Amino acid sequence: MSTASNDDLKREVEAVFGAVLSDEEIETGKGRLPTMLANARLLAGWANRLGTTAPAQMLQVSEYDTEKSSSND
Amino acid sequence: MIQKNLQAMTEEELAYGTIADLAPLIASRQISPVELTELALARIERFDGQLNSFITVMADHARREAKAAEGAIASGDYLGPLHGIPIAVKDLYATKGTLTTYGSLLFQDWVPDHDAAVVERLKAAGAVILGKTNLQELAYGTTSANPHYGQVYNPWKPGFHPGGSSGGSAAALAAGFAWMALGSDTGASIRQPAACCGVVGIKPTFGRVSKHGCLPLAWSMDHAGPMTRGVRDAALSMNLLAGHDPRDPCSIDRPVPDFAAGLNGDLKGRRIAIVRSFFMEEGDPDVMAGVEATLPVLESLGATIEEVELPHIEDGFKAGTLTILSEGATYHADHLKTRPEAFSPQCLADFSLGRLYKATDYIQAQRLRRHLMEEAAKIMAPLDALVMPTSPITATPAEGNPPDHPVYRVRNTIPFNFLGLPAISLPCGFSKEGLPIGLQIVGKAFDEATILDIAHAYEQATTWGERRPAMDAHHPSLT
Repeated sequence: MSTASNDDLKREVEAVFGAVLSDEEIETGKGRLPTMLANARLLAGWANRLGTTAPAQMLQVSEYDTEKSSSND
Repeated sequence: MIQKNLQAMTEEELAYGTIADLAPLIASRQISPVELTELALARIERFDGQLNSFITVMADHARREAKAAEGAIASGDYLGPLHGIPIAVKDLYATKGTLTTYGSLLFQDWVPDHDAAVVERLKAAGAVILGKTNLQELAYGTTSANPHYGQVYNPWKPGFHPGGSSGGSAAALAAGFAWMALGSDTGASIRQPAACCGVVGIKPTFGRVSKHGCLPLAWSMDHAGPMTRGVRDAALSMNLLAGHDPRDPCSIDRPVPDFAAGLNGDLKGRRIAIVRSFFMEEGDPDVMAGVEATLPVLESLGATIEEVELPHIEDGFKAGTLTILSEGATYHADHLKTRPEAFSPQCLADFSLGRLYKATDYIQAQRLRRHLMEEAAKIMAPLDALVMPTSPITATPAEGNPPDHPVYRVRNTIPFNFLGLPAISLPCGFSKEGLPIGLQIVGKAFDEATILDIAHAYEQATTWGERRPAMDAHHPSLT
């Protein structure tokens, strides 16, 4: 059953995440969705402050450097 | 504890001995791995019906391995401090020939044909694996309320959770079932259960310990590490577990120091900063008082105490939760489509929602991550370590989760998964209710040696780690 607040949440989810959730999905997710929306907005707010900062990443190019010896400890 | 005549020791004293105490006695054949293993199995048999800390007890395997260790030591082939020591493995690590469930119905019948890297290392060192410990489903959560394998309970108080996700490992140590246990930590899962159960848990620097053979929850946040009943035991375990593994793409190839060598109890010249901002702004006053009370102790040991802030760390916490949910939803994407019925409603809902985050959200989080790593490195440069509560709250009843507690339970720990920095939790007091409080000590990247040194000095100067849960009194039906 859709409620006024659930309808608002549904609209916010569509605006921020670009996804249309069913009434049931909104009902199930209404505990977590407000935090997720806030997190997404928070990070969008950081965009300008981060300038050209590159993402932290897991890829270590050194592991593909076949010239490098590995001590294995 | 072991200085006392070995013959006069009770079984309980032996069960709560440390690896550092017992290893020389095993090496000199004053204690047999077979005796220790039988003691552990007897305690599991007697008490674990109340705690549910194990999913699989490997009694036959443990007896075989203990006998093999006894024989090898008798033949002069002593392998080191873990040789013949009964340990437990979180059921998030693959174990060759033994059921490995990951706490999930998805893997309820899975028997791997290989060992996780950390299990390989423990076996090669002669450790005796007693079994696989219970955990939160897919390591996602902090109360070890597993809907498929049952709730794990805290040995310190009946009906209370032990923290999570490595709640089985923490409870098994606190109950004197094992002398070391493997945990894993994506947002709290080694340190927070260690705090809740009054034991020691270290989350090493990201890349220090191989995760090969450990089920991912979030690749960039997951860490493998040991849980023990003493800091020296954590150092001895780290000596064994740390090191490069090319099978783990996150593993870092750099020298591993002897973590136990520098533990001398002296903090002269150490600069330690408490971070009250964010980490101590909300939570249980007993926890805050317990952590504040550590400062004069550290000072009396020679350390200089300062206070710093980590600006934007709350944003780092939020970006860390986004990272866990995004990566978790990605890893489980196929199962969410093909076997949704195998997930608990909570996991299904959360991982399904995690798919909503966009690539741009995730990448912004990783950009913020680099920024905060650089910021933290600058702040920490003149310092040796940061301290704060491991968790701003103690364990609570397993039933009836207060709505703000899921966030509290990870608030102080997720930031250091996000930054990849090493962090250890050790006991620093008890609440008025008699529940353990954990002190978190955070170090610079790859400087586990310093946080172990500080933790060890504090442990030696206090008696918190010597308290034991009154298992018999708490479980009268079993006495």
